[in-house]
Amino acid sequence: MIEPALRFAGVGKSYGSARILEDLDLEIAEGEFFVLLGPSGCGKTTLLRMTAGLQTIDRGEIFLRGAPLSPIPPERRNIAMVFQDYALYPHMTVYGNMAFGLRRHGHDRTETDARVRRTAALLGIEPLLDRRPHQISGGQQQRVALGRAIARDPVLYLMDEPLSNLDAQVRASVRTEIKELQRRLGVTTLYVTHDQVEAMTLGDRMAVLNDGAIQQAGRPIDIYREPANEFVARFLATPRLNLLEGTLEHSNGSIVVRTPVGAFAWTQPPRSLPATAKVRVGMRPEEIKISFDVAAAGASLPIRLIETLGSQVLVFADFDGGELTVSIPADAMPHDAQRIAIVPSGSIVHVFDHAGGAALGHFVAGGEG
Amino acid sequence: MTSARPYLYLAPTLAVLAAFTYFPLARLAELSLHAPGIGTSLGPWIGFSAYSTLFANPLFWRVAGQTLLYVFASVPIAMAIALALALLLDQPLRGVGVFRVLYYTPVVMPTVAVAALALWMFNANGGIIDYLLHAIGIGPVPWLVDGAWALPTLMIVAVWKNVGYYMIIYLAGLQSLPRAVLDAARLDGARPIARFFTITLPLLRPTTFFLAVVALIGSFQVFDFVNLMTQGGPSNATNVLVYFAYQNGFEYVQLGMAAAISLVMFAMVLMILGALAWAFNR
Amino acid sequence: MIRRCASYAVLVAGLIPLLLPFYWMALTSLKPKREVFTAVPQWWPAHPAWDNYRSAWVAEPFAGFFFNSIVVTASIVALQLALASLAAFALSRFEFRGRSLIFWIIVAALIVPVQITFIANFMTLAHLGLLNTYAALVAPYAASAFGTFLLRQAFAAVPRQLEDAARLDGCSGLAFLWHVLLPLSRPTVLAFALVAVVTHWNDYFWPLIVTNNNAVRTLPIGLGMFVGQEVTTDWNLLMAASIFVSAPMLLLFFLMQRHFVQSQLRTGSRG
Repeated sequence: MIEPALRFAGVGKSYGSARILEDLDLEIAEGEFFVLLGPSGCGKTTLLRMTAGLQTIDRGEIFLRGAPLSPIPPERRNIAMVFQDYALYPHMTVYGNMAFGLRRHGHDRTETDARVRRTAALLGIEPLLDRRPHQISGGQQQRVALGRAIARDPVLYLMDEPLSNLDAQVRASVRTEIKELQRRLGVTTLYVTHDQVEAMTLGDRMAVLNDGAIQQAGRPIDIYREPANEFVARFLATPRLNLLEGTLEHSNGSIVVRTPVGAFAWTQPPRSLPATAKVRVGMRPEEIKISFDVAAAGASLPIRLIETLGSQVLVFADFDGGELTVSIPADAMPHDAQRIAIVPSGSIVHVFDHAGGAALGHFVAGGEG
Repeated sequence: MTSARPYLYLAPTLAVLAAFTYFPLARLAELSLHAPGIGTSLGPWIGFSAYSTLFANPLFWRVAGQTLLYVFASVPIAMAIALALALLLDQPLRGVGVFRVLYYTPVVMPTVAVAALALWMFNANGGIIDYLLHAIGIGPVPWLVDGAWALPTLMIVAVWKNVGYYMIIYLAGLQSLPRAVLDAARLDGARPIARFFTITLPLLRPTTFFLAVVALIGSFQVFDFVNLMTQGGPSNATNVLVYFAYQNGFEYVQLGMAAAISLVMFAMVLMILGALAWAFNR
Repeated sequence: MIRRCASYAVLVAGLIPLLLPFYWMALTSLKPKREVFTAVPQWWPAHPAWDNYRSAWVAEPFAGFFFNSIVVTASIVALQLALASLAAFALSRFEFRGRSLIFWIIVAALIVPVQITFIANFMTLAHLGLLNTYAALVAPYAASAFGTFLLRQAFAAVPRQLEDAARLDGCSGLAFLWHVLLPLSRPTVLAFALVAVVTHWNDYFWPLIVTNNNAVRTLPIGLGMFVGQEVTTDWNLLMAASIFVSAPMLLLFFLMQRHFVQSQLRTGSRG
């Protein structure tokens, strides 16, 4: 069995009586880009800081390449971290910032110089080497923060929401760069964010955290397609997940999921579903099929508001019990539509247990039930 | 972090402060409750009799009164002048920096040099002050010679030396006032004088408090002037508590009495600080 | 507009009583003895007597006093910086029991000036046989509550994330203090050092208490003795001496005045 690069075993942390993290298990493979996704306060940053050694582990242990980390102080863990606010040394030049950690770890001047220049070349920041942090832009500072970590050539990178302080445009391009860099360097990376897009695009695998526990872990696309519970489904939906009250009607081995906006045929349900049960139905705005031909459809919903986002359009429609959000391509939007009709066939439905929120199943609806 | 390191780093500072600031207070108490001994050892216990002797001594009351007069006259006057100067300098004038530097210059002078200079300028014979007064029609003033004038002369010297320092502090305070509030007052129609009294001055309260405390503790500097210029005279007209303590300790070698006077001084400082804190933090 | 002219007028007018004494001091220092006392004051030296400076200098062992002042002031300021840095480091970057209490204990020392404790401190040093030594002049001032307060504020302003980054870079504890905290606090350190230098160079009171021997006397004491001798006689020599005693601090002030004035703005302590 290959030892994973990073292994969390029963990790827990409390502040006084508040449990921040509870019995967390996770394995990250060598060279993997792993994302921790979750809202503020879910414990993801705490987990990162515990891996760095900046906070102590109360319960359980973290293993780096098989060796427990608790006994090793952060100064000697051979881990590099990129901070949200970059944390560059204001009184040192860019060169100094990148060289500092190397010198502290015992590298001589020649070796340090070689590494710093190599890293600077990799990131395209050579012209900045003599400047101070306050003389360069936010995006450049972020590169220097990355460079500082890369120059150290550690066995693990930790990144704490490094893109959150960047302008939206810069963010997208830096995101791609980080992905490419990591692929090139092949170093295991643990990346923390609350941004769904970052998680989906950057991670080889990811874990969604909430309230100190892993809600689901796996490949981003798998989590997207089959969220394990309502929380994960809600967190991985933009602008928001449509949640409807529904009931299951069983007939001849197939099920109809009835909701206030329509009935969806579940042609191959799993066996273990409860009989007639109340459920919660989740539908992502981009996964609902609609038609503007309300005459043919019969049932329709009034459009309350249309938001144009450029290539996509958000349609907000009222139904009995709430408001539905649907996302369609802009060129599919007629000028003067007043109502929309839900087309069950082809819509993607996520069914959740009414009590606990656990996923009961996900399906593409068949024809009319 | 429950390591001992922070305590270790604090130890030298705390040790020095304990030895030379806090322990002495206890030692002063001990000294004041015993008769003078031989060399550095204590004599027999005398209880509070040093204090009763002190309080029965009319000279003590005179000295205490002069000390309070000195503090309560020179400090407010210096602060008022300093505030006026700071208000003038808190404008976008050209050369503000030059004025700041020039007004601050007396502050970096040694008190000894200032004392020597003052002795010369206020001298009855050849002193320039009398000459200048005469030029505008005022007769010569017995500055350091007359009991009624001596203490005010020392006050003038102290004000001269310190006003630049107080001015800088007020300037810092003025520059930290929220501009928006003052602008709002202007738009509300408040005239400059009204704005000063109803907005600026109240907003400066923390600065004024801070400065009052600083000036109070700094007023002990008067010892240097008394020691060099008047030696407490003429006839104890400029004797102040710190000088009185010094005399008792080093001229009359009554260390117990000197210690008692020192503690009385400390008690007075505490009371004045308490009164200031109450007045400014209501 | 009128406001500004009036302001200038008042400020300049205020400079007259402020600066006239300096001019008069310099003027007198250059006058030969017979020109010192004249019925009508001479505002410019007819025959500048530069020799006054030499005469004043040799009248007392000023060279020795100068040396002592340098040793004592340098020692005090060096010790204060060291002790205050350590104490401020502990107070600003560590969590520990009694932190708040210790901080207030240190700050409280600011209201107990040497003029209150001098009798006891004198006795302590006499008992230890340390009178008339550099140790007596330096020891009571080795710690600085004021410096600790200032540096604590400056150190506390360094963000936690920077400390985290330094730890991961292998720099923590005293190395962090040296490589990161102090460099980032350079303006405060400089401002404090300037104030401390001037304060202790000019100190008259404490050296008066613990020294009566020319071997350890400092410059202000030397000048004080000179005052005692020369009053009513050689004012010109006295003024010359006053000038060369004040000159080092005046020079320091004019060279670094930006830092000084900034320092008071930042701190609120005297020179």
